Amino acid sequence: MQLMGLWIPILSIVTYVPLAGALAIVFFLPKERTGAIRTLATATVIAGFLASLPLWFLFERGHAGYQFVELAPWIPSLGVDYHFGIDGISLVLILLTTLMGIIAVVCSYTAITERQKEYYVLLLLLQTFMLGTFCSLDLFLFYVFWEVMLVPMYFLIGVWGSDRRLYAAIKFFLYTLAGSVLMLLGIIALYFYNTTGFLGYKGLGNAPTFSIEKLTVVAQGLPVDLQIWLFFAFFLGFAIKVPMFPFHTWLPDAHTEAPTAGSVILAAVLLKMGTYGFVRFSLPMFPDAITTPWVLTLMVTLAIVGIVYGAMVTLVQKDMKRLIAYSSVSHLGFVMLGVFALNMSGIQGGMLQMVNHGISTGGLFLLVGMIYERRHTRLISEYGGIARQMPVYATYFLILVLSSMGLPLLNGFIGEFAILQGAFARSFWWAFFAATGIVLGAAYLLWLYQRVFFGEITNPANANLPDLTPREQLTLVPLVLLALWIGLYPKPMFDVLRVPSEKIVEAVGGRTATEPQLARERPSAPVEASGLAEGTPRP
Amino acid sequence: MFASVGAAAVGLVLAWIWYAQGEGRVPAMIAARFPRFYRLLENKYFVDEFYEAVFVEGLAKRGGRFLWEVDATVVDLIPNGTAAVTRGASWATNVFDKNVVDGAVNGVADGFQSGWRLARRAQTGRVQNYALVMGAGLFGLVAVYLIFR
Amino acid sequence: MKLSASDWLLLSPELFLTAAGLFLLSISVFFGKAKEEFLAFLTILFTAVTIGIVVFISGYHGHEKPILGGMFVVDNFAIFFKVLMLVSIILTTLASVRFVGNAPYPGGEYYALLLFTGVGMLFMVSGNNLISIYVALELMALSSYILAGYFKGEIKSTEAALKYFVLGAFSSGVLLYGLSLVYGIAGRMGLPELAKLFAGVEKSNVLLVGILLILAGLLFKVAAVPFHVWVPDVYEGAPTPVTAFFSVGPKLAAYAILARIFYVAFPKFHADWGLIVAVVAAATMVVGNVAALLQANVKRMLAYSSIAHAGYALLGVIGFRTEFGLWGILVYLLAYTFMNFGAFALVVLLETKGYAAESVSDFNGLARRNMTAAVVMLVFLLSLAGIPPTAGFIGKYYLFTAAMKAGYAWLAVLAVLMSAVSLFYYFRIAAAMFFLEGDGTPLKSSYTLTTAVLICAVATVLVGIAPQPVVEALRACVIQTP
Repeated sequence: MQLMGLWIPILSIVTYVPLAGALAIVFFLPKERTGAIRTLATATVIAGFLASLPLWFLFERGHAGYQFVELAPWIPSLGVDYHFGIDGISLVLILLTTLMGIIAVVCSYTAITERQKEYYVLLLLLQTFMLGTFCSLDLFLFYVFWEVMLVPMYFLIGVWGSDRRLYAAIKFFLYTLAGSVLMLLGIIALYFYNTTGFLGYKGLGNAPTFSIEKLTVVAQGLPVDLQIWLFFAFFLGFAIKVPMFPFHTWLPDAHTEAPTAGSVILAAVLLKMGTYGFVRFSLPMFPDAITTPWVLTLMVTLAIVGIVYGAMVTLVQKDMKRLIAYSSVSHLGFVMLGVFALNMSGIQGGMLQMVNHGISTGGLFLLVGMIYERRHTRLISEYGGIARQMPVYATYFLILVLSSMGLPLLNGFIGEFAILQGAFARSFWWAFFAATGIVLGAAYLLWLYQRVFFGEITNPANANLPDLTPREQLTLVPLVLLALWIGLYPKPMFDVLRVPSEKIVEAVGGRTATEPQLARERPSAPVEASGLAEGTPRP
Repeated sequence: MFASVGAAAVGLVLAWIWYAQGEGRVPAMIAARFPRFYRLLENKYFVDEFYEAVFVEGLAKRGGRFLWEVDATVVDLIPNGTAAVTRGASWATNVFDKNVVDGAVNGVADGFQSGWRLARRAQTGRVQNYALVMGAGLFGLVAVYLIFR
Repeated sequence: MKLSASDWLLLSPELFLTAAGLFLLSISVFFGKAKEEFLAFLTILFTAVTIGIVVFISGYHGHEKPILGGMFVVDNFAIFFKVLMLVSIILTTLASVRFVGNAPYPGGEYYALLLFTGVGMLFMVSGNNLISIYVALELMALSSYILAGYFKGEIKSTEAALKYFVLGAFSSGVLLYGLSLVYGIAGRMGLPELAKLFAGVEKSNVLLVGILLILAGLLFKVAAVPFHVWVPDVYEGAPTPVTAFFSVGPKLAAYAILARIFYVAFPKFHADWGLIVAVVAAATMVVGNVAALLQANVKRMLAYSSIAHAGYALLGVIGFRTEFGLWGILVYLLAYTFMNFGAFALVVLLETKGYAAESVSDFNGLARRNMTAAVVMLVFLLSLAGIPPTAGFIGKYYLFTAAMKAGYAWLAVLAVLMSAVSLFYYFRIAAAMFFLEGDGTPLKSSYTLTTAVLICAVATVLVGIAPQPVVEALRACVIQTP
């Protein structure tokens, strides 16, 4: 970006500020000075967030390409560049990440009492790696950030987690890694199709490159059977991250055993990596594969199964964190359904719901962490009647529960409505099952709330719990405000997401074999006040 | 209309004659001669009681209570039954998820562990065995190559 | 035959190193246990001088011509390996100073033997003729056998030496038999001549069996399945710095000659030996990784990991016909040298209390005892597992690319999956270091060991983050086939 005639690599700044903070803590602060460490960490994430704010204000909503681009050669022998840039979807995810960074650091003040230096360093490193993933426009660079992100998360779970943390940490790492390495092979295959050819297919003979823009064009031109192979190579890497059924079982363990800030970051940001991957890579690059009937059916089926199955399993959980973890499976099933509806409503709704899920589920994990700090148990049966003792806490919890549930006036409703609209436009039955998921969502959330907050205080240990401190409220207020803002006035979000969604819909539009009327959704259609574009309802 | 007004007027006159002027001697005589008839009239044909017994108690209250029972159990089966079915299905799904889906994941790990135990057994520590493995491996390699050439 | 001045120049590294080894051997009688460090210093000095000579030769115009009747060539390929192997000798010496110093065995002969092994390795990679390669291989092997058994009071060391010797002799015999079969058909031993000859001749079974036998003999040295069985026992029993050396130095040399022989002399038969190498590679990766999973002894675990890495490197061999094949092996071996040696060096660190401390649980709580050591070990483990941004990832990337381009997509899939699996046992060590509690006593390292470890760590990270200069330089080291 240009500022007073100077070119500022703002994306790199946003990405590496946490790294700088981490290095400062490592080299300049001995581990005894825990107060200074916390202060520096907080200052770093606040600085990172402030550095990312200009992105929101300077971003051009109607521009179709990538913005704030930075390009420098990195490994020319392989055609790898250091290539950063964002569009609408990465913009909102970056802002979500930087905001969550602040929240994660601040909420850890009292939760983490041991080895604090390492903790904050790891948290900051994780922040850098996540931001790098969202900013990358080079497939190799993306892969590097994608993989290395797992390392600090592994340590966060394994050192500061709860009882089964060793199992959860290695399960998380290995499972996610296994998917990612197959994606690496897909990347290599794509590289060869661009240059010299591979396995009997002639290459295009271009100069080697990993640029996402160029490779997207290359991939779109590939024959269908090839696209399908590559789609599934990438699919596994992303599907495990989302997580889609049946690759989701690492999530309950990782979320439950991680420390609060770890769970918050996992839910709010890391899970978005998978869906981001689908939206950034799979959909634009392999449109012929996606619109092949059996592939699309498979994807949507998995999404719907994720919604309903996830919700049903959530219903019977006895541990609060596990309950919320499983609810993420259900919520992200919604996102996947929206994405694979392949129309404006669905994709915009899916992208918005990514952010919404981060807000609501991240907030719920925060809240559970707060009560865990007081009572050191996460079992629902240990609670009851908490609202009497902690009314402020109960209020925040209620707001976030309603947001997660999708109640109108809050953010969840907007996303869910858009997704349902998109799904309905493709098939009544998709929307039907998705709606079932909404009902189940209300069931498990309200039931949870009732068991924990209402009624008499049955457990004497709950009799004298202190309500939320100002610091704790500080971590929740931004989330509540965001939930309300997006719920009441989602237009700014939809403005940002409109152009990327249009690009995707254009990429897949007109290629459906069975639904010829899925022609290009009018790319220059004026957007209504609420920002929702319509889909064509089918009888 | 005239009949009802006429009846009302007759009643008015009779009441005036019997009660106001005659101190109730005729009504008393009727009461003595036709006690049951008199009681019927006195209690307004027991209409209220009838109402009370049949409609209020019988139909409304008992009927209401009955319907309430039906509502609370049978009709409410729609949500409660769904809840029970859902809970049951959820429990079953949870069992499936823990044992089958996650079991597959852990099963992969167990498979590797079994493989590890198998691989361990190859290392007997004896040079003769090692040389045998190497020799057999070499023989196998060459043989397979020559056969499938 | 007359040797010209330039011939002498090209031979000077080997000659100098031989003289240095003999010199060290002679003067070692005058140095008691206390003064041994000086001998180590001399070793490093001589090796460094040798590196200097090699680098000087690389700038010498026309150094690529074969000399000594075509038996000896110092092309860029050889220069790369020579430098890398000499560096590994320096690293081994650094890691051995305190270790051998504390042991009741003389250090002078130890260092001299290292240098002799080095001489053998230097001749190996320059060999352009089957016989000269074989002779150099034997020199390296014999010196290695003695090094393995150097701690002759320790029963495990003697056992390691004997097993290495017996099985090594067996494989040498196989190799020699293969060589003789090839000679029988071809009538000559020079690699370029063989290539020219085979361009015309049709394949005969005898010839191909000969090639297979040569392959088998070399696969032994490289530790591929089913010729890997000696590795766990020998690596476990040898003194740890020697194990560290075995896992890099002789492996490098073996790969160099494998590459040279099969790239220069037998490329025409790629279609025949390609699939066999693929199957061997697959088996090696699987066996190496699976056998390491729950291994409690660190040295054995790293031994199996070396076997697995040999499997990965074979992917490059399969990809010889592609741009990334030989190039990939070079990149990978560079990364492998530093990351593997570094890991073993940290095992040496933990063994400061004696020869026996070798289990994974000895790593418990290392983060508290010496955070730098733990972090550095973590870097090596990540690199071994192939997690970016480390050198190991770059190396593996090249190898996977080579396998994919060569058409062996199934093998590439297996390789990446096994690579992911390997993370499990590498991170058992990481978990022990960071998650579990040890005895909490602070752990200090000697300066020499620290130097060795830091060199490895810096190389691993640097090549991972900024690989371009290294990678481009290695592209120039690929053998140019005429």
